[in-house]
Amino acid sequence: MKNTIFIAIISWLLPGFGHIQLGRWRRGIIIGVVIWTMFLIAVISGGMYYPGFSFKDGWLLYLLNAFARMGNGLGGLLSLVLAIDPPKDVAAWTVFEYGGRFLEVSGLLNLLAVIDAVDINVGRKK
Amino acid sequence: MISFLYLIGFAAFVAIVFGVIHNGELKDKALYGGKVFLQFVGISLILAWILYFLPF
Repeated sequence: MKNTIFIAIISWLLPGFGHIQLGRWRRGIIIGVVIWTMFLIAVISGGMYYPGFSFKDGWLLYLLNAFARMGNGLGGLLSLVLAIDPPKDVAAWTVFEYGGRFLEVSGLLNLLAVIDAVDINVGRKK
Repeated sequence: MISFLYLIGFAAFVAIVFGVIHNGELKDKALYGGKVFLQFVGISLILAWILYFLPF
């Protein structure tokens, strides 16, 4: 059994890598490919600019988005950097809202994957 | 059309991850993932049609 904290952190930071560390190559590669693909689609769709308003205007939505997108690990940190200079009309893009959802859900799926990796490491799952 | 493609893509990605982390043999995982995909798409289409006919 590897260090559980290490597995959790590496699984969060690099989607799928925690499973690969545990020897579950197929599972890790599939999870990694899916989560990174969702993240890329989110970035292309302008999802990192969501919600696009200041904290005081809609703090609950802002917090939900922040929590979910940070589930992406390295991708979440990257999305914060990419969101620094948004295009003026980004909210008018047809796919803007979809991008926001893809970014949030890829983060949440990664959190699920972290829990799965930890469960495998402690023996709760085969 | 683009909205439908995003719907299919979203459902597929979520279904794949749900299927992969599901307990059981490969067949059980595949069946569960397929079920999740169909439920996502089916319920979304049903909701879309319900909302289409609502006046507001």
